[in-house]
Amino acid sequence: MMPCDDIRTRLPALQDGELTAEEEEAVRKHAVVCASCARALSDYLALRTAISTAPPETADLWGGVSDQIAAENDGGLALAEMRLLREELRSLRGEIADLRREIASRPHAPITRSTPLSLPDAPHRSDKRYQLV
Amino acid sequence: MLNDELLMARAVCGDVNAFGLIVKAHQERMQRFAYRMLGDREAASDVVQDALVRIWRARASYTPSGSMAGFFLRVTRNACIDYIRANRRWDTVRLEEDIPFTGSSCEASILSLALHDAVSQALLRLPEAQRAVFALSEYEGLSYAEISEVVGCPPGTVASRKYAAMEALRTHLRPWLEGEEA
Repeated sequence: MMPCDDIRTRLPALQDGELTAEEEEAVRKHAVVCASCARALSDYLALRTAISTAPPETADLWGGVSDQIAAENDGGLALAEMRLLREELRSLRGEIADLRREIASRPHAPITRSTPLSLPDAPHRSDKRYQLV
Repeated sequence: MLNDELLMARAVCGDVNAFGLIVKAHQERMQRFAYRMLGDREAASDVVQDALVRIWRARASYTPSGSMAGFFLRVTRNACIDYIRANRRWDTVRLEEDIPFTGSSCEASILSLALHDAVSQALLRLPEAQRAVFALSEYEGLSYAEISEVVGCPPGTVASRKYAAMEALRTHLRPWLEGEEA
């Protein structure tokens, strides 16, 4: 025979139909002769009756969920476009750097002047600064 | 009629409409459970909505195991635990005194409603683990095996938590239970 404490812990399971046939029989037989367990069972039944009222109102959440999903999808597209642009920018920077390196590696050409500085046959300067006519 | 697994398989591939059908099938139970866990209808709706969006975001990593209802309730429970931790209002609050009985002169139906409210209040004072088991068992009618799938513990532990919850509620609501009998 099961002790009273073991029976007591099985009372909710009895209510919930979770006991084996043997356990159920043992618990029911005990509850007939044990006032304390019978009282506990009666209280559990009262609690169950008290909570078996209308369920709480619920809302349709799909509108909010789908809006959020759509916003994230739009955000995802913008993000993908941004990533492409960033890749393009990185590629352009690479090309610019290559061009700079190419320019830097070329030998410098001599600097030529369009006007010769000294001409052997040309007078450098007239001694007469001013000639009055 | 497409079943949940097929719809979820489509959702995993990015089918929003399939996901919508699953949401519509499970959102009520999720909200009811969240409400029992949080005691606040608005918070319950927000938590469930966030949980649903999180499911969508993580759909690629979804692996079928157990029932779909169990999966959605498990996600709801985790979301509720996160909410409770973030808000710390319900973090294993324990009732020091019995909830006062005030319905001695009421009619039986009003008394029943008042007791229902008192149970809801007392439920919020239970530790989260007991509250989840109690809500899933009493309000959602899940078996101990189904509850164990949601809360991630063996059915024997579910039975122990249910007993602990029933005893705690019985103690907290003793004035009501005695008053009702009187």
